[in-house]
Amino acid sequence: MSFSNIIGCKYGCFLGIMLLFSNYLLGQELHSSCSLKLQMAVVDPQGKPLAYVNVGVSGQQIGGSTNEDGVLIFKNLCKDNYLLQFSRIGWEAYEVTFLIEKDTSIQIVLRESGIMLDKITVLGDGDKLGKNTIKEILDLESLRSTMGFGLAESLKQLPGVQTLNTGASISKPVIQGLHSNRVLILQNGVRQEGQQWGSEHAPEIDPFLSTKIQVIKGAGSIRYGGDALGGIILVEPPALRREKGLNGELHLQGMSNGKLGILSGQINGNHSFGNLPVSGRIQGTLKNGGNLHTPDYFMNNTGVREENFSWMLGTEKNNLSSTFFYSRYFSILGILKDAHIGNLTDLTNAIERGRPLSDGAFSREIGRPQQQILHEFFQWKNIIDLENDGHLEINLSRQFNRRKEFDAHRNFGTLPNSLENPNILFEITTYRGEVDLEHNWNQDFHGHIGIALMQQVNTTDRGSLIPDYSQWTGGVYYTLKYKKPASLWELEGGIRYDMNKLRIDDVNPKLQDFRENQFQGFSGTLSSVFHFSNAGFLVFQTGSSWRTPHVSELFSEGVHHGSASYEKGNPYLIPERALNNSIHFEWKEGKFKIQSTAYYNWINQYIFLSPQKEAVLTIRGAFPAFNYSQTNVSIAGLDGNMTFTLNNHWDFTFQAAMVKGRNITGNDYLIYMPTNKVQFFTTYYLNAKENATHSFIRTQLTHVAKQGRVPADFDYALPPDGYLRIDIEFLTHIKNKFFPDIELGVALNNATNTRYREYLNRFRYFIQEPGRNLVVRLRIPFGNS
Amino acid sequence: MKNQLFSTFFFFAFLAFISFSCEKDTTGDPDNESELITTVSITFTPASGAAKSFKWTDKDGAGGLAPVIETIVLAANTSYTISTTFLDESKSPVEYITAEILEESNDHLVCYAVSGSAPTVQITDQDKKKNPLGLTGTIKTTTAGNGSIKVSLKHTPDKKAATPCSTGETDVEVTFPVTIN
Repeated sequence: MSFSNIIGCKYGCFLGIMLLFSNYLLGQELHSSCSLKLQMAVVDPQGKPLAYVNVGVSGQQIGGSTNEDGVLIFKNLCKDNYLLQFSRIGWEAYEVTFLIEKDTSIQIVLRESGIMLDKITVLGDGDKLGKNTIKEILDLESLRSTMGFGLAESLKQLPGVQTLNTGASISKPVIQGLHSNRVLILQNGVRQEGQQWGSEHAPEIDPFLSTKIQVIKGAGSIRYGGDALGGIILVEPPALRREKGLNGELHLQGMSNGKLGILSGQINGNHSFGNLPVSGRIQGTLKNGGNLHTPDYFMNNTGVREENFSWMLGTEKNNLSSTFFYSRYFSILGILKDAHIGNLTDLTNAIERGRPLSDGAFSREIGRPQQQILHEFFQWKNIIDLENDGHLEINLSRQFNRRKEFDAHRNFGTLPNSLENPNILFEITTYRGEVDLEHNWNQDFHGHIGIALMQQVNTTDRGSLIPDYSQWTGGVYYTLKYKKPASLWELEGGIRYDMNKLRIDDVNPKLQDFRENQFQGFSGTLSSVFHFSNAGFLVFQTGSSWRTPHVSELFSEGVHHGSASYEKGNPYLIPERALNNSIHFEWKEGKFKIQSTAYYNWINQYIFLSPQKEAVLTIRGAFPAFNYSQTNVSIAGLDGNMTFTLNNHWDFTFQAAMVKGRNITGNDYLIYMPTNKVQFFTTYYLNAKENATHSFIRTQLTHVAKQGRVPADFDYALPPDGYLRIDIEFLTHIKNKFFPDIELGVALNNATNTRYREYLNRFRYFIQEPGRNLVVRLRIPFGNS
Repeated sequence: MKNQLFSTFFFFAFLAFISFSCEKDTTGDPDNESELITTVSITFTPASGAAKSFKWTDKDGAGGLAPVIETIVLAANTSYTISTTFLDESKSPVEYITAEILEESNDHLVCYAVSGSAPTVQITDQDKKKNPLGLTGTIKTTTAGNGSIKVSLKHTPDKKAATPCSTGETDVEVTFPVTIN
């Protein structure tokens, strides 16, 4: 099988961005067994023929390239299902399964990827992310239009992903109702290790370094860990340039709300030293924003700074490719001053006001309270191509995360103006080593066997929220996939064993009896794909995963000032275990495209903060007490979207999501579950002009209902009312003498300046969501790509 | 030549990985506890007779041992001047926090909320901007009975607000039972 076929199969699997396909039946009935003809015409989104597109058929010795007219004809085909794979360097690969029973003619639309196809990425993610894994890929266009708002806000575009916010600046992704430790985030294939347990700790990743973000829902992939109860987010930097030369791109963004500016750029190069080709990239992002405003007032101290930097260096020789990747993320986040409260009386007062004391003013200054987060990531990834037997991947990495939190709090006296002494300082260093061997038993069976080791040290230098600890984890897994080219069914199963050793290094005598902790367990998945027709398929997936209680859940003790509550860990917690079941449906025919996922997940011994009858009396007054406890819960949900393409000018998308979380033992709802949400997108594509192509205007209506499924007597205030929000976006690609393809986007978010509050924003008690925001962004690619 | 270049690359790559001078874990003070208030003490001085002090104490901070709360016992129909002090008794020697409050008086306000037979507190002292401070005051008891006084220390309150005591951040909020004989 040629290299391009491998790309075609593995890269574009299952979500071709645009496929306009017309199935012209030529009306010839019942050919003798093997004399059928398939004519394929490959075009770009403007309908221009694409030459030199490689077309392969999975598992068969058929293949070829399109001619100058974008056409390729396969003859002498038997009546069967064929998995067709289309690929061309610089274009998104696409694959589709077709039942050929008559002479058939199809048209395929490929889209420019802007990503150089790369062996490393392709091999790294090959089979394991086939159709068997229920996943969503954030398309490049949506990613680019939202990456100025941060990773979680970008992901919110996908059906079934919501966010848990703390004010306007901190946002965490929520998948299938779960977040924080129950959602894994991987950067270039490596688990991000920071202080992800905290609900006000946002993921430390610069979305500008990525061109591909995928979300795996549920327990779909055990390769990355057995503890992804909610899901996995894969953030992948684009592959390195493989042709000689230099290219790059520059992003400029400005937003009216917060007067936020972003400057981001990258340069890619490739050069051969003797016979050794070396590819590299340097990338960086600067972000600066001031106080945001709601329709009625400014939010004091909500500025943001970000300084991110990354580089990648790689080479490829014979069967080996080796890449270094380094990224450094640094951000300073202002926390709304009015949300910082001393005790329950203050909280009651703040909720009663429901807004800041004063209207505030614009300022770029970020005072206390604030967070300063540094995340450093360094990776060495090697892939050895074992010819027909598969690939061996060796991945070594080091991560360092430093989180400083500066309170606006002192028991007395004024706060120091300097930001030298944080009230909380966590430092966590993680080393990981992973080996994955892909093994092809034969054409139909593909296996992965792997081992993952981690060593981690966390020190809490300031504040005593969680103790110092060291942690060692080890995991081994095996997955096997069965996929026969002509079969209507595909099967995949996997099993994983993980061991976790946790040592508390703290000198606190209270922790004397809990110094050494050890957890172990198995996780597994089983899934099958059924191609019910040429146009659609169903995925049935079941899996079980488990998660070790985090140190914060075991040992934290103290007043949580954000929520005026006294939180107490429980060293006797046992691991929680989930059983996830999902059905996923995808269907594309003519003008319709539908996809939907339904899931029902049980979690036994789900760890949560349980409210206690007795408040804890302190010198600051009485605080409601919450203990980390365990219960059995169920989380069920349904999400999906449907696109109807009317013609070349109009398309309409309807997207909806609902989640219902129940505490089975307590017979009550779960707190902080996402609210029902429906979205309606209307896109009008403008006719291409000589200097402006790919232009569209999109209106997005988002309706979020009032959350009715809340536990009794649990929250400080009732859930906020539902709301309707309107966003408008315009995008075009401009061509000029110097730059061949400038992308210009203009968006008006919350166009009607609607006043609303979001149930999943922990600051909803104090403040509205941000008001109208005009976003102007430019993306300027340069060099010869 | 080829292979040499390649292995050289790997050698340097490996060196880089081993010796990469990333940010390192720094060791700060192991447990830098923020400063603490453990004790609120109110001294009642009648026009004639001995002064009496009553304490609300939680020496081990939030959680752990329950606070020790003394009942304020006053005589009926008597005027007292009161003086409130804040201490950190977890340290040795005991730290007097009242002095720091006086120093930053503009940013502080001591509030008194009473219930039952406990008489209202009149604040008599002022901060540097001539706004109420609340470290000293007067009360006048009337008939015998029971009640309570809630003492709170507000940080950066809005002293110009209609109800200054519902602004700012609460550093201390303790309630003393009161018995008037």
